[in-house]
Amino acid sequence: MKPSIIKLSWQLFRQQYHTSDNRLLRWIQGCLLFFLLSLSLSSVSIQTHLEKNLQQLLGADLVLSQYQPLTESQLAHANSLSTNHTLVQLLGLTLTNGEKWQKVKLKLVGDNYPLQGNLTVSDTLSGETIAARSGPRPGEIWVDARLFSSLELSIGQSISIAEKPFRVTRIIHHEPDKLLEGHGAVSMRAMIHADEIGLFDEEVSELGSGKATEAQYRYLFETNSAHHQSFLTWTKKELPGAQVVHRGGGHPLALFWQRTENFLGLASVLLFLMAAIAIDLTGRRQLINQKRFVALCLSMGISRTQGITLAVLQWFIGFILLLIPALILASITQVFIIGELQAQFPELSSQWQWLPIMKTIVLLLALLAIFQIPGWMELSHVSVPQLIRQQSNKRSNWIRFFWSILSITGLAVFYSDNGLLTGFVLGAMLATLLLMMSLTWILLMVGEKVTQRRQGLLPFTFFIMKQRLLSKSVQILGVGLCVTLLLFTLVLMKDMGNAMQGYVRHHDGNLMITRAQAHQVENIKQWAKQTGSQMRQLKPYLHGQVVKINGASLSEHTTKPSDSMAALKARVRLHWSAQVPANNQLQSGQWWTQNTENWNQVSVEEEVMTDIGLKLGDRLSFLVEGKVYDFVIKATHVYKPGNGSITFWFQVPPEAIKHIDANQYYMGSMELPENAWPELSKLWQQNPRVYLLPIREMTERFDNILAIITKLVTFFSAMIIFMAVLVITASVKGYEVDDRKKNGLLLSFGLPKSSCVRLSLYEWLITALIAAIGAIVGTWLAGELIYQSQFSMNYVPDVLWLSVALVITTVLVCCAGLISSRASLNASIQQLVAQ
Amino acid sequence: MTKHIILGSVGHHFQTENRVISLFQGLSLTVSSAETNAIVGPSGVGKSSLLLILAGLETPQSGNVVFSDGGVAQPLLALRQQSGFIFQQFHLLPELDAINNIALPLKLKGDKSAMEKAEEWLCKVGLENRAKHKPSQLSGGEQQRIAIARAFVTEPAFVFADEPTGNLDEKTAKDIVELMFECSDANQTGLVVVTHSKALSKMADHCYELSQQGLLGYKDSSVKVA
Repeated sequence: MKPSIIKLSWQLFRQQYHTSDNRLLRWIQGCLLFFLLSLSLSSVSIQTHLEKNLQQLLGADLVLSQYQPLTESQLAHANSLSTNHTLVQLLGLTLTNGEKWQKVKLKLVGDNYPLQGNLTVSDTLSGETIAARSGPRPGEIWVDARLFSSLELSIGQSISIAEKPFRVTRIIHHEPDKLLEGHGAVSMRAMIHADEIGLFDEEVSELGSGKATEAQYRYLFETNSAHHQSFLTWTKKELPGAQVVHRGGGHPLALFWQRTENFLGLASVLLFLMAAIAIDLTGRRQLINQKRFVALCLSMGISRTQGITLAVLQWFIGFILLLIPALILASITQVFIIGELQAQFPELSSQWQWLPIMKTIVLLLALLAIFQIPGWMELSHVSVPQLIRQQSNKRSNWIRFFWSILSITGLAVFYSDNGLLTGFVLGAMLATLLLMMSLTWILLMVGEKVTQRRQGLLPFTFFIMKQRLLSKSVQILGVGLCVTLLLFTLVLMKDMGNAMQGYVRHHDGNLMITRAQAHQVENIKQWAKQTGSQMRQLKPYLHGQVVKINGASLSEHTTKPSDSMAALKARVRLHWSAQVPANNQLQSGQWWTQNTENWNQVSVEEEVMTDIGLKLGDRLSFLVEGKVYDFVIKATHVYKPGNGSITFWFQVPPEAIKHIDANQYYMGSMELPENAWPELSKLWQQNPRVYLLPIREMTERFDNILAIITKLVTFFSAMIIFMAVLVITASVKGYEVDDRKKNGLLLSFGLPKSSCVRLSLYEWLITALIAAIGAIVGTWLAGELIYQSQFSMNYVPDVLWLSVALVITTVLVCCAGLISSRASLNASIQQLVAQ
Repeated sequence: MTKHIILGSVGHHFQTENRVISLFQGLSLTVSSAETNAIVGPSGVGKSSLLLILAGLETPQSGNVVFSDGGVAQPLLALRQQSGFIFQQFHLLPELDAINNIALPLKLKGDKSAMEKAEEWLCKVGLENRAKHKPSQLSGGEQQRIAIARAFVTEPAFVFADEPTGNLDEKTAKDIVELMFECSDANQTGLVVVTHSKALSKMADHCYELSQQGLLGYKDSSVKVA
C-alpha cells in the first residue's frame, strides 16, 4: 500500500472528525467497545482469580467427591496412584441453640486432616488466628464464624447433635479445601471428628461398602501430577458419578462464571441490535459523501480499489483511535466491578492479560466491519456518471439488513450459552419489530386515508409520514427497540422482587420442604397438626445422576455450558407420576399409560431438552445409589402455573420405582401460621436431617442476589438509555437535511414557525406512541416466554404500571425527539434561497 | 382586488466578523399583484435580500414594508400566506412524487380537492405523464416546472422567484420563463423575479436594476431612484 494513500486517509479522517455524523458514529461504536471491553477485562480478572484459587484452595493435589464411599478395591487402586489420602464426610443438617436454628454442612474429618495447606482457627470471633495441625477431637465441635454469630454460640458451651452433646471449642476461619465448599452464600459449616460417624447410622454406610447414602464423601489425595490423567481415566470408567478436581484442571466455578459472562454477552447482542440501527441511520449520509468522494477519485484517474481502500483505512483509523479511550474507560470500570465483587470473592483482584483482550478487540473489529461491508460494497459500484445523476440503489437496503443480521447472529452464537433464552429474547424482539412495523404501516395508511380531506396539521403529518414510510419505519423501529429493552429490563427487575415475595407464598405456602424421608414426613404432619399448619404439596422423588446420554458421558455429549448442564453434574431429583402432574403440560411425545409395564420411560422438561440438546428417543443413563438404570425419552413437559411451583425435570412411570432400589424422599410446601414459627426449632431438634426452607429465608437470599443483579441491571439500563439517545439522535441527524428543507418549504407556504414545531411534535407523538405500544406488547411477549421458562413464574402484567410507563415513555421520546430536531426546526426560507 | 407591497425608504446591511457590508439605503418601491417584476444586478449587490424583504421574510434595518389589500394595510403574515416561492435549486421534497409535491401546500391548507388541482397543474406545466415520478427521476427543467406549479397551485397574490433559471440551459430557461409569465398572467398573480438573465427581465412589466448606486427602473416611471 502506498504511503500516500495512508496519508490521504489520515487527512480525510481528520477533516471528517468534527462532522456531526462522524461524532455520532464514534459515540455508538465507542459505546459498544467500552461495554464489551469492560466485560472482557472483568472476565480476565475473574478467570485469573479462579485459576489462582484452584492452586491455593484445593487442600490436596486431587479431590474426588461422590455420594457413596469408595469400595476397598477402589480405594486400593486410588492409593496406588497417590502417596497419601484423607477422607472428609459431609452431611447436611440443622443445628439448634435455644430457639435459634441454622442449616449447616457438617464435616467429619479424620486425624490426618488437613492433608495440605492450613486449617486456621481462633478462640474468639475477633481473636488472633492460629494454624491447627488437625481437626477437632471426639466430643468437640468447631464452627465457622458465621454460624458462631448466627446461633449466638460461646466457646465452651455445649450443643446437641442427634441427642449427643458436643463442646464448642474453636471458630473456623479457613479450611484448606475451601474451594470445594464454594464461596460466600453457601451453607455454614461445622466440623467434628470422624469417629462420631456412629451418630448417623441412618444416613451413612460403612466405609468400603460402596453403598450410596445421603452423605457426600470427599477424598483428598496427595499425588504426582503425572498420575492425574490415569486417575481421571480410571474415575471416568469406574466412577461415572464422581466429581474430580485437580491442580491444573478447571475450577468448579469456572463454568458458573462462563454462564454469567454469556448472559452478559446476550445483553451485548441486544445493544448491538440497537447499535446496528443507529449505525445504519447515521451511515446513510456518510455513505453519500463517501460515494461522491470515490466517484471524484475515479473522475481524477484514481483507481476504484484505491478509492475503496481510502474509505476502509479511514474507518480503521477511527476504530483504532476509539479503542484507546474505550480501553482506558473499560479498565477503570473493571476496577470498579472487581471492587464490587470483592464482597463475594475477597481474594479477587484486577488483572490484565493481553490475549483475551486482543481476542475481544479482533471480534469487535470484525463485527463492526461487517456493518460497514454493505457501504463498501456500494462504493465498488460507484461510477463517474453518478456525480452528474444521483441514482438510488434499492438493493442496498436488503444488503444492509442481511449484513446487520449476520453480525448480530455471529455475536449471539459466540456469546450465548442458553439457546432457549437467546431464542426467546431474540424471538420476542423480532416479533416486537414486526408488530411495530405493521402498526406503523397500518396507522399511517389508515390515518392518511381517514384524514385525507380534512384540514389541519395532523392530516398533513399523516400524509408526510406516509410518504416517508420506509425511513419512518426505521426510525420507529430503532426507538421502539430501545424502549422495549428498557421497559423489559425494568419490568423484570420489579416483577422478580414482587413475584418471589407474593406469588410463591400464595401458591406454595411459606415453608418449603426440600427433602424429607417417609418417616420424617409423618413427624412433620404430626407437628403441623399440633401447630395448626397446613400441608400444601407433597411429592415423592429419589436421587439420581445423569451419567450417560446415548452411551456417551455428559461432557462428550455437549460442551456448551448452560444452567441445565451445570445442574446435571450433580444429583437431580427423579419424580414418578402416573399422569401428567396438574402443574405440568405435555409439550411433545406421549405420556405413558397407567399401570404400564414398560417402566424405562422418562419425560424431560423442555428447557433441559434444549440446553442439553436432547430429542425424543434419546437414552439417558441414571446412576441411582451405585446402580445404572437406562431410560428412553418418551415425552417432554413444561411448567403450567396455578397448581404449585414444584416441577421436576425428570419424571418416570410409578412402575419404575419397583425396579429401583433406592431411598425415597419427599419435597413439598406448608403454610405456617405466625405462632408456629417459634415451634420450628423443636421439629428440627427431633429431625435434624429434614431440609426445610422458610420462604422468607429464600427471599432474603434472593434479596442479596437481587442487590447484585440490580447493580448490573442499572449499569445495563444506563447503557440502553444512552444508546436510545444515540438512536434517536441518529434517526434525526440522518434525515436532518430533508427535514430542514421540508420546514423551510412549509415556511415558504406561509406557515408560522410554531406550525413546524407542532408538525414535528405530531410526528414524534405518533412515533413515540407506536414505539410505546410495541414496547409494552414486546415486554408482555418476552415476559410470557421468559418468565415461565426461566423463572417458573407466571407473567401478570400490571396494567396501571404499564399505562404509566406508556405515558412517561411517550413524553420522554417526544421531548428527546424535539430536542434532537431543534436544528431542523431552525430552518428558514433564507437558507433555501442561499442554497 | 389589487394588492400592493410598498417599500418605504428601506435600508439593509449585514454584518461580518469585522465589518458592516451595506447593501442599499433609502430604497422605495411598490409592486402590484397585477404585474410582473424583474430585479437584475451583479452578484452580491443584495438582490436576494431585497426579494426576501419584499416577501416579508426579512426585516430591513431601516424604512418600512407595507402590505396593502385594496388600500388597507395588512399584517405581513397575511402576505406570507398569499405568497408562493420558486427557488434556484427547485427544493422539491425527494420522497414525494411530482403530483404530491404540487399538492403539498394545498394539503397543508386542508384543500379537499388537492389532488385534482395538483393534477390540473401538472397538465398546465406539461408533465401529465410524470405524475408518479420522484424528483430524482426528473430533469432540472422538469423539476423547476413542478416547483412553478407548486408555487401557483394555491393561487397566491404574489410569487417570488430567486434565479429560477440559474441552473438550466438556455432553451429550458426560456421555456421556464415563458411558463412562469403565462401562469402569472393567467392567475393574475404578481410575480417578482430575481435574475441575471436579460431575456427574462425584458419580459417583465417592470424591470429594476440594483447596483451600488441604488435601484434603477427601466420601464416604469413610478420607480424612485435612491
